[in-house]
Amino acid sequence: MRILLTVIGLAALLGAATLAAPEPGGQPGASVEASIDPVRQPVVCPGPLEVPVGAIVSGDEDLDSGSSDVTRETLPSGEALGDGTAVDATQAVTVERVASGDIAGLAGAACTAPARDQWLVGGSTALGSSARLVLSNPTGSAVRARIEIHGAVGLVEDDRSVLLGPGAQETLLLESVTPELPALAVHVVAQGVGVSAALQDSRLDGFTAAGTDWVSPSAPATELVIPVAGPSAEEAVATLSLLAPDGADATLTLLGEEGPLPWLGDERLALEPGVLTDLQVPVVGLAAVRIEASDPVVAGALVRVARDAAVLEGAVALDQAWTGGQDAADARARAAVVPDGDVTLVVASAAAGTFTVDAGGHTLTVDVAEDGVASLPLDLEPGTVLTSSAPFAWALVLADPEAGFVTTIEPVSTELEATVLEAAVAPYSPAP
Amino acid sequence: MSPARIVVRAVVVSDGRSPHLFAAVDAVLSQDPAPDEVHLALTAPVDPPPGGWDSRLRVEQVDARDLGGAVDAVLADSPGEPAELLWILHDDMAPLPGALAALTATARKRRLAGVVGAAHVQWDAPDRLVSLGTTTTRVGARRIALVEEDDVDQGQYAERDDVLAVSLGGSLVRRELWETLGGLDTAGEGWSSSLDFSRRAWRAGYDVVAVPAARIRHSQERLHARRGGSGGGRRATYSVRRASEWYHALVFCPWWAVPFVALWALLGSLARAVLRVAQNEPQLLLADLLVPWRVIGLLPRVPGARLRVHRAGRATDAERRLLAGPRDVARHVRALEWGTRSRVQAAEQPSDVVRAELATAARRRRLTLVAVAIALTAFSIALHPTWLAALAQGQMLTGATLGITDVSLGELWDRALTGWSSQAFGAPALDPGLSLLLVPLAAIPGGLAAWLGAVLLVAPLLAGLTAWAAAGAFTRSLPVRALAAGAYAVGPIALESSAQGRVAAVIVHVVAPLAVLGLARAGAWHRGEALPDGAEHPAVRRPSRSAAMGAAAALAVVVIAAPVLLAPAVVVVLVAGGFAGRARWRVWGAAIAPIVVSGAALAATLAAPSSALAIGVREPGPSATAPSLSAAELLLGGIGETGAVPEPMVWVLRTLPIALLAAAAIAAVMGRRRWVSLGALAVAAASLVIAVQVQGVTLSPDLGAGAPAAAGWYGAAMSAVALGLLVTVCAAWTPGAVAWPVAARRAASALAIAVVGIGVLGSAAAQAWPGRTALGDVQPQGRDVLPLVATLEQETALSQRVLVLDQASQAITFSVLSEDGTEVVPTAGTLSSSGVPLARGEGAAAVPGPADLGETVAALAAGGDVSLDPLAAWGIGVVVAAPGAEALADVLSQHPDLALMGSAERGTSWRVGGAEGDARVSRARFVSPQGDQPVAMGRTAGELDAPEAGTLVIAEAADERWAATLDGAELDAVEDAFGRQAFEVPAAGHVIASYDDREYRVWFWAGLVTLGWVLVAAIPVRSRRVTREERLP
Repeated sequence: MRILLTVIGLAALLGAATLAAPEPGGQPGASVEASIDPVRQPVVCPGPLEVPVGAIVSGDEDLDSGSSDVTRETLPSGEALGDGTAVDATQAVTVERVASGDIAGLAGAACTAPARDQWLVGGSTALGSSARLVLSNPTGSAVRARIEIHGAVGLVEDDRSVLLGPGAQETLLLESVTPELPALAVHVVAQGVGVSAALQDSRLDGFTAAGTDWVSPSAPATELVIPVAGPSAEEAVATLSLLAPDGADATLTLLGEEGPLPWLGDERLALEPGVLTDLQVPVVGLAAVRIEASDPVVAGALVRVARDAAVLEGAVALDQAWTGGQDAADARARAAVVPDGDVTLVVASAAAGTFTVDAGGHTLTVDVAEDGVASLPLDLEPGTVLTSSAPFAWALVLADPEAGFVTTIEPVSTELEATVLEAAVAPYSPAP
Repeated sequence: MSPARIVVRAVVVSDGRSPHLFAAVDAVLSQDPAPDEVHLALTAPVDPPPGGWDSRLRVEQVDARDLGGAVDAVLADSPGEPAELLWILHDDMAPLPGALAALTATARKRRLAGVVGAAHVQWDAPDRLVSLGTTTTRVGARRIALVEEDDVDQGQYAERDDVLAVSLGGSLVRRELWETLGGLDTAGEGWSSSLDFSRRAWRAGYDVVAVPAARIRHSQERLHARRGGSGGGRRATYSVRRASEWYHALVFCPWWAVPFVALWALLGSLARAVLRVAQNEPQLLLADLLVPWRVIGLLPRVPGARLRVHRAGRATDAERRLLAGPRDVARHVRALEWGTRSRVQAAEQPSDVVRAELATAARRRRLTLVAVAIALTAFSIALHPTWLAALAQGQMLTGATLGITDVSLGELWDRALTGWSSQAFGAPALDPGLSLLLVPLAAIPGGLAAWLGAVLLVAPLLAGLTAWAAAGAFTRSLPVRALAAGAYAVGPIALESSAQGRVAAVIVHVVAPLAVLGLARAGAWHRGEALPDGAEHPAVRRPSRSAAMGAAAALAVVVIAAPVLLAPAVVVVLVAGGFAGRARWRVWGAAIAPIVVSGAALAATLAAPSSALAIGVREPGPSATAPSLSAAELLLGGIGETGAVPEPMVWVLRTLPIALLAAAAIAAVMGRRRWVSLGALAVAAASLVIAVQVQGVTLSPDLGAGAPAAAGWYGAAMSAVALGLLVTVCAAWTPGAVAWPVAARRAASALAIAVVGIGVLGSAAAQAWPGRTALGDVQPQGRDVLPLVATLEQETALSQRVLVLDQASQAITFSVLSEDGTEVVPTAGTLSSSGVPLARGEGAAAVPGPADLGETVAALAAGGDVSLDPLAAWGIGVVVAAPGAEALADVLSQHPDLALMGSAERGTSWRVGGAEGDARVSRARFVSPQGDQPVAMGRTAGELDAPEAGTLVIAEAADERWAATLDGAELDAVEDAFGRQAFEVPAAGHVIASYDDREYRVWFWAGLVTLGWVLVAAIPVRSRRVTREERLP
């Protein structure tokens, strides 16, 4: 009879054992989101080009590495910031023309506002080349910029930082950090308001100038269009540089005036994380490149213009222009200032359409074919501001055909982006 | 001088309450030679014996309250020679034949003998001595009998003559001495009057002589409190006797020593009170606590008594020689205590054969225990190989759940004692939580960090040892005990608890077996040592008071650590008490301590029944969310991923819980102790239900409303399930439990032991295998968490808080710290899941906490130019960017109002507010039109001299119990935009602000005293006053 007790006990335990797991209790901490509208900061133009180390002064204008015929113009004008210029406007342009010497050519750049995270795709530290990074801090407080350098083998330098005092400009010769990189991309990260960054890419082929230009910052996106990726010729090959920070599968399309052009070789690329990939653009006239990728990619295209070398008979000197990839879906208002000279507006797009741009009150329109590129020579007063918020990739090409010089000016965003950050309470114990 | 013949005047004093009066009178009258006069002094009317009083008696009704007074009254009516001898007798004393002859012989021989005392023997056993002279210590606060109690009179004291004092009852006293000294000092109910009279006799130049040959039967009616009918035995008169000893000391000590003796009396009684608690002698405890009051009551009589002593004469060398020295006292105490012990031993002494068996069993038991302890120590260390060395090097254990463990003793005690918790931005505390239990660990050199770490490290060892002890109450089989200890120690859920730093669950796992052991012994349900003939030793187990108190202490600790177990614990105790027969009250008593330590929570539950669930299942100490498990998964050990452990071991690891369940089921069916197994299974089932259901409860967010809140943890309840199953198995394991042939039984036992043994060893190996997936994130770390500059600011009088920011993947996390890291070990789960203080009921508002600063912090971290006022308002004087969060550091360094203090390995710090002077941020501020002024503030109180009218703002959450006064006048609390506590100060003056936590302190002290009491009472100290009857079953 007393076994009944045991049966009751076992039954109770068995009954309890059938209980299912309840909905777990607990609640995560509430996280608060803050959206900070940044204060408008001046745009910064990087300042004069510099002749890389090893300057030769012979007295002969053609042999000297420097030049006596240098003109530099910044529109609109601003205040000095280091060697550069801080312009209290949403956009500005700087163009420098060096008539002779190692860095002969046209080098133009849109002046940029400070940013936290920017990629400069372009430059080389191979023998004869110099990559000079110019960082400017137009704000009233100090900022530390961290620099990562990527090359064809991936990340090669990630432990470099530059502290910029208020209103300071610092330059860093990347060949002193990572020499012998035939192509590179620089990732500049700074906190707070950020820094303005530009890279002077100067190349020399023996005694012959092989091109100089400013590399302007660009941002990663999954669909990019580089409006100026041509012309490309046998003696002046255009190249394309791509980098996916986290790796990506990319598809390339070459955009011609009439529509897509065949790409010699494989259009599909598997990009390793952090590895810079360099491609030659097939021989082509006016062209743009569209990149579609599974993950964000940064890209830039280098076009060259050949001329006869001043010193060596039969040799070819080059000038070059870097153009960064623009987010094809970018519908923000962007603007560029028309510099003095022979300026052409180049527009590229995946979809056919009409690109409209406001030019100091006038509206200009450019028709673009599907997967095409179109150009419009401009005859506007220098300093005219072109503004558009259409999702087209566009740039200004400034050429000096007589001298064989070329440069491009990319539009900059004129909208201020709010910084959004989440904060949540969490216990704090020491990190392992 | 010496008369030719000695005249003896016998005075028998009676209050009519002794049953031995007539026997006493007869014994006096039948002496040969007979006394010359025999007075019977009656202080109360007494009916004469049937035949009337003997004609030789002079029966007198006297108006006196005590012996001395009665003798005085008799002497007043009966003039006589100064040299005559008074034979003073009480009505419970009957002189044996020849007593008077022996006394008078000595009196004749010793001319100076003022008092000639007799040997007192037991009334019923005249060969047993009761008293033969008394002495006292030099201080005089302890009367020491010169014979051991119950000593057999074998003539060993025949040579005794001069003594310090004799009992006046039965003594011959010279009348002139009596009259010179003015009779007896009967203060303190006369308990020390014989000693007092004898010592005065020595001082007056007389001798006090004991005569061993004169024997008087003495029934000690008054000592055993039989007069007046209380019959409470010696305990009933203890308090008065003890007080009279102190009175004696006060009377005989030098005048300057009186205050010291009085103080000593007080301290001595307190010390004895503690001893009484340990002895579980409530009556004597009360008696000892009454002693100082009785001494105070006697103080008015001290001057008169001292005057009488002074008049008697100066102390002589003879008297001093007869006082007991320290050695004599030690010998006396030893004789008393060892005598008791020996008597108990002698009563329980088994035969030599049994003793040999017991010795063998004890040796085996010790060997097994040592082996189990060594194995479990090795297992504990192998489980966390890095911990031991790190702890020895002074590091602390820490983890996301555990928080920091380097809490100082002072801080911990402060937290335990004050009713204001530092959770959120301060909140009224419900109870001290674990801080009370951790204070002893923090008090050991090395501090809490080292010893809490050690507890977490050797938790398997400790749990194994307590489980061994508990299993021993139900089975004496060593393999079963060892396996029970091993299985309990390697329980996967308990290992998870310690690896995750869930301190409360670890405490429960270690302590709960002791509660089971205590209850089993309190109700005498434990087994005796098994003897080869099938009997047990001792044959009859007796319920133990100390064990009941031990169970109470263990249950109190369990309930403090896991309040959810209060209800089942109380039910178990009540039901067990119902089965305990005569021991029921002492078993039920074990429920008092857990209820008292939960008093504050129970009171809060009564005040706000809607919060009952939140209060009932709160988890003091570290808590964390965990995946929810079903009852079946819990029973199978909740073993998740095992990592790179060899497959056979994993198999064993997962099989052990199944084997234990099967063993419990078989044991329940086959065992004979049905009620025990029913109880154990019921406890297991109820605990399992609790374990499953608590997972669905959201606990108090330790960092305030809006901070992460944990889910209930099943660890503590699963320890109770494991215990229930182990008790079921162990209780069934008795020799001869089944009627199988011996060989079959042995084979079955061996098989069962082998299976479980392999399971335990395999599980242990699997758990300690190097590739085993980590069960938790607790790791040793350096003790310093924040940068030094930040901790220094916390420790100033301004007690600034520190805001720490860290970078998570996308968001940032932040914490506001008053200490060097997040301290959750002393938190008590004081808030409801919505951040409302449980002590204030559901109607109250949620207390402000760090989450309220979310927007400011997010904006600050995003580089916005936000005002730092909300930070300063809450006393945050330092902002720290955690190490590695360089991006954050860059942003913070651009904020114009943050001044860099320094950058260090432990983070980069910035100052909020001014670096010095009135601009400094502080926990409390006085705000006035003239400007702000920081106010130094303790944990819950502060004061200032207000120079003018203004507002006192304390950066703690506003609460109704905060109060402030201006020169003694109450100040009105005013609303504060941030929810801080603020008071309007209408004029200049001295302002005192404090938090009123009286209610909390009442519960705190009640819990602490109860816990202390049961801990002391759990010490198994036998009282020698426990009578023989009580010792018998």
